[in-house]
Amino acid sequence: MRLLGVSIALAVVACRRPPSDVLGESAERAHSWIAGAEMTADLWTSGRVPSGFAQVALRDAQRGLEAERARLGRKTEVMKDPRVAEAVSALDAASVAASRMGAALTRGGDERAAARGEIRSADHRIQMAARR
Amino acid sequence: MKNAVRVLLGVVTSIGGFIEAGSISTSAQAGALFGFRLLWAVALAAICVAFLIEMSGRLAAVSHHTLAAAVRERFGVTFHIGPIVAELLLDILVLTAEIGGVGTALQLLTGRPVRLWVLPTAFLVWLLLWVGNFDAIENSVALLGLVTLCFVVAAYRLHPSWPDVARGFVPSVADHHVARYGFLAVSICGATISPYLLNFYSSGAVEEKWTEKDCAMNRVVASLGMGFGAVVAMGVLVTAAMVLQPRGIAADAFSQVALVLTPAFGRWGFYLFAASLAIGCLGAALEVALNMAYLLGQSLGWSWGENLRPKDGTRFSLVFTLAIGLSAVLVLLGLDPLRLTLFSMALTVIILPVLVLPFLVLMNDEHYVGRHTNGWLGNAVVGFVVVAGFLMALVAIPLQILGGS
Repeated sequence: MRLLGVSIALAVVACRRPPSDVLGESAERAHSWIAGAEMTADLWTSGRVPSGFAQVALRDAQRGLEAERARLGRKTEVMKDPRVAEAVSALDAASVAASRMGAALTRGGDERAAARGEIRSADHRIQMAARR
Repeated sequence: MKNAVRVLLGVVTSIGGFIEAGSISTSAQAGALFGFRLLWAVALAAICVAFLIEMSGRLAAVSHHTLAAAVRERFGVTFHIGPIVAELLLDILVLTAEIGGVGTALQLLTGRPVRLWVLPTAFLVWLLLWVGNFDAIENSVALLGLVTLCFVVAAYRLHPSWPDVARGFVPSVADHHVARYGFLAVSICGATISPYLLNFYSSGAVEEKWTEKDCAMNRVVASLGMGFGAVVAMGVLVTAAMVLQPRGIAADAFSQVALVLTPAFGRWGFYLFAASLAIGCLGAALEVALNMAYLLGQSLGWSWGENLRPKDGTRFSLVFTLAIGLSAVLVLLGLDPLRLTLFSMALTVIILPVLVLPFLVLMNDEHYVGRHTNGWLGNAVVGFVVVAGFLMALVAIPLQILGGS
């Protein structure tokens, strides 16, 4: 039990990280979801994955981005940092864009292209906020 | 000739049975986040599991005892309760992850939610166990599992830098995400050295009535089977490193991992991945559910055996029925199969020393294994697993918190 307590205490101490670390990690995760969504959209466009799968993957990306936003939002101490506030706003935009990409699969190419543009722009904003 | 066929079948079933939700998810995440750098963990875990599997087969062939029955007889029921409860809890988590894994594969194929597939999957697992016999189940699902060799072909077709791949076999410290690296190394070991495999393998040997004469065949099957199985897991890791890492995709969901085979196989890649995940998880679900029934049956002295008709082994059949039902409920409650898999793999290493230490005693007891006691190398490997498992157990909780999410 003592060993377990020491392990947990070490982990809790190590969990207190500065906002830049927290933001950097979130930016990396967000990029992962966005890159996955983009790759899925590319493969769907070239007919290499079925529509049902593309919808699932884009929904996962949207949920992943929402979870990342919620994770940052829960940490009140880092939310005061303006870079984090910018990243949260961009994460919101990215999850909306992922949702639009999913909806646009069955619609025209213009709408898909617009959603891709939005998600790329949101990704850029998140990465810039993390690097500032 | 007959022996050669048995060896070949044994090796083939080991390859087919190696890949499941745990090995796919841990290897894919390792490749996606750290390139080839965690190949050493797969290799090390494979060497350890090959030794342990060979020992459990040897124990069964010589003593005609399964691992659980021998531990109970040698150490008494009181000692046996802790490890049994720990293994049953772990098995439930793994079974839940595997049923969820089949559901996820069907979700990827159809776009319909995982929950829709949970009950049909659980029913299929139960039905196969209810009507099938040991050989039919093991051979058919494991033969289908050869589809997982597509990961090896994909790794080859993606033309990785082989010197870089070779460097991955040298243990190294990560230059970024150290906690995540440690967590994945521990999880890979947990996914490969699954405790259920040991008792399942020895139970299979008893069901197939192995004798001392089968020791040589057992050695070949364990080493070649686990070796080739590990090559498949390495194929997953290399493929993820080639496809996902350059794009910055971390393999945080099976829908991301599902992209890894498409660059190598085009449209077929997606279907090959879904088939590999579904068949691998189905095979593992059958084995884990069966192992839970073996474990309780052998520990409590019931009549047990997959070759028994359900009416001749009612308590045995009841255990796997309840286990499958409980796991299905846990998936329906919304437990995420991927997260559950990673968690249960880390948990495996925590309880591994408790499960493996009695094994070391048994394998040196002439009353059980006669002249086939362990050599120094076998003892060294088991000792290493116990010590490494203990050390990994110490760091597993902090790593779970820091690197597991």
